[in-house]
Formats: sequence, structure tokens, C-alpha cells
Amino acid sequence: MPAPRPDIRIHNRLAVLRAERGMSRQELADSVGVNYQTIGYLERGDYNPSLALAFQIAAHFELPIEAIFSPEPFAPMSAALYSTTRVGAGA
Amino acid sequence: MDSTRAAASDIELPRRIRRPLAVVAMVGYPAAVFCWTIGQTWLGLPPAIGGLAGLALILVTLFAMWRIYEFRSHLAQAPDAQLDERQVQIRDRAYLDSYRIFVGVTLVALVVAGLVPGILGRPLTLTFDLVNWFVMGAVLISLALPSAVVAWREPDLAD
Repeated sequence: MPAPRPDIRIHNRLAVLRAERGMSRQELADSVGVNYQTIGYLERGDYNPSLALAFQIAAHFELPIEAIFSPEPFAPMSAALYSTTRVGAGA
Repeated sequence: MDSTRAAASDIELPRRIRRPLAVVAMVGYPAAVFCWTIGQTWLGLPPAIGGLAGLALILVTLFAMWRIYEFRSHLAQAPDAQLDERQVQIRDRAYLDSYRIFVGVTLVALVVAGLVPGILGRPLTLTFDLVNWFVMGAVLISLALPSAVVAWREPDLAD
């Protein structure tokens, strides 16, 4: 019998990417073929997307999938852009 | 799925309204049958009052069932083609939980029906009307149960 599956939360940068491009949830939802409420659930981390939906979103934003979704929390954009030390390096 | 159409027809109800509606949809019919049967025969409820109260309860129940059925574009009853992957998960989980609830409640009802007459010292006579009401209730509640589960469980939309 397989071991119980741990609840893994998939973090994402959907809200930031959508804001950057000035898109509404409805527009993003229409382009990837889901209900606009699902985009809200994804952004709040209340729902983990399927692999197919994650790839569709990545293709829509023309970014690699790991730039949008990650099992680890993303560092704030400002830290990634301006920090002189690597975030999460433990130093 | 046609998300534009789904968004346009979405009917939102806050959870503080949805949950009472879900409860009414589930207990309204048994309460009406109680008014028509046991309330009159065992508790001595006047037939006119029992009949009117039962009818009012049925109308309220049907209203509650309609409202929760309409919630989020008939999410609990919609086919796959009208739903996205998250909505399909919600609907399927609601059906599974509905099955569990229905089986559990039916078993409890059968046990209660077997015990209560003995405790109260009154026989429970199985008439055609009683069986008819039970079957109608089972059909009505089983149809509305997935909608009630979704209406009860879904969080309010936060922005």
C-alpha cells in the first residue's frame, strides 16, 4: 500500500506576473481555459494546478514553468533583483 | 469550457446565507413529513395546522434547493465540459461525500425507525403513504445533496 501523500503546497508568481502585464483574472482564465475563480484560488494558494494547466500558464507567460511554480516559497522580487547575497544560501 | 459564459451566469451567495439554505434543503422535507404524519398521529397536531405547516415547509425547502442548485453556475450538477479541473474536483468530491452522507443518514434513520416506537411505546405502522413519502424524500434529498455539500463547503470568494 502506498504511503499517505503529504499535502504539498505549490507556490506561484501568478499575481505578480498578471499585475506586470496588466491582465485581469478573467483574461488570464480565458486564455488558459479555466474559470476566473480558479485563477483566484491558484493565486491564493488554495488550489494546486495540474501539470497540464501549469504548462499552459507557463506557455501563456512565455516563461519556464519553474519561474512561475515552485514547491518552495519564492523570494520577494526585490530581494531577487537587488540583494547582494543569495536568498536561502544560509549565510 | 466556456469560462466567459460561466462567469456571466455565476450566482454568488455568501456562506452565511448558503449554509442555512443547505440545512433547510436537507431537513425541510423530513420536517414536513413529520408535520403530516407523526405530528398529527402522535403529538395531536390539528390536521389543518399540520397540513399547512407541512406545505409551507415544502415550499421553503424547494426554494432553498433551487437557490443552492443555482450557486456558482450549477457547479454541483454540471457536466465535465462546463467545468475546469478545479471545479471537476469539487463536484466529484461533493458526490463522494453525498454518497457517504446519504448511506449514513439512511442507516441511522432505519435504526431510529426501529427504536423509537419501542421507546415511546407506540407502534409505527407502515402505510403506503409513509413508504411513498420516504421514497420521495430519498429521491429529493439525494438529488439536492451534492448542491448542499458544495454550498456548505465552498469558501466565499475573496479578492
